[in-house]
Amino acid sequence: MAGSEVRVGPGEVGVLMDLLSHDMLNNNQATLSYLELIHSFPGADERIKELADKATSQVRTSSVLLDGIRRLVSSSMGTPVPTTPVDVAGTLALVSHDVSGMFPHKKVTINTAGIAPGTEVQGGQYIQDLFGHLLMNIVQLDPEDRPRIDVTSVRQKHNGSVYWNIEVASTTAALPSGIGSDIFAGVVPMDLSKMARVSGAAFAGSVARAIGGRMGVRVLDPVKNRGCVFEISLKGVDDR
Amino acid sequence: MTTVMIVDDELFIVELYRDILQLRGYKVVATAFDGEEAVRKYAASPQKPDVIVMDHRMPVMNGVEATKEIMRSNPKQKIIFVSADVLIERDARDAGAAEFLPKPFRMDDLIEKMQRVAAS
Repeated sequence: MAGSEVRVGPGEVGVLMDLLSHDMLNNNQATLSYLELIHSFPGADERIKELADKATSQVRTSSVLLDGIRRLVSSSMGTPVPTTPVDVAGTLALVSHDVSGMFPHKKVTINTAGIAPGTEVQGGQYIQDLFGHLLMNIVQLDPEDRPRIDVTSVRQKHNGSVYWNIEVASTTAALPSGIGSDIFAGVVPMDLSKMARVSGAAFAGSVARAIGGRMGVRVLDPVKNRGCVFEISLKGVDDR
Repeated sequence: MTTVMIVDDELFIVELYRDILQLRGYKVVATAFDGEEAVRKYAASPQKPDVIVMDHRMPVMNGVEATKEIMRSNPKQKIIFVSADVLIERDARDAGAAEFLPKPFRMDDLIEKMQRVAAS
């Protein structure tokens, strides 16, 4: 006779995920702060400081991933989409600082000179999540020691509503071969080992959809599988 | 020396704050492990702390409720609200918190907010 199935309800999973991830963030907080204390300890050896920096970057990345999980859990429980306008250039400045800190062994450049003045989109905290995970993933996919990411924006009107088309481009990041826009299919039709390499981009795509936008990607050099441009369309602030 | 009260239900987080703040020259004068204990200890202390570092998710009474109670008894009290729940920031500020610090934070961020509220 077959045994009964283990099954925890989705609502219960949501609550437990929220509680557990909250505890994990507290653990990360303590680890991060003690690493900072080690780093700033008078007379600390340079090699010790370097190792502490590496551990710090991993804990910060872990915290960003946990934040993403918490946001997804919250979204799955029916949180309303925030309509607060968010300044994209300002958000990118904040996120760039965080992303650079996650990769202390790389010199990351995020060029936002191509962001048009007045690029404001709806989505509150979700916008920071979207760009944070996407930029982190692009740097992970870039074999260069000095990755460079260029971000541009163009305003468009569609059926009377304002949208901003934002491109996030790298000439050197390499997506797993053949993956393309399947990243944003919503479900997971592909090999999970490939998907694991683009989880940050997939998360960004889910966030974009959840707040009424969309996201795609094109590979710049499909033959060498090198370079990619993520195209994000987000709701702007309508003209008054 | 700036005096501090720490309110958090996790012992290791209370110890963390104590380690950071004492190394940076602050004096931890009281600790509490839930909002109700914080309100009670605060009311009973003849010498109020300069700054309270307050968590949100705690048993018995949460951080927002404890902040409201403390601010009701002393509207000049400086409270730094620290939480991983960024959506609670507005409620914390409405309750009277002078600053909000999302977790995880950098040590320097905490110290900068401590200096700011202590000087205000």
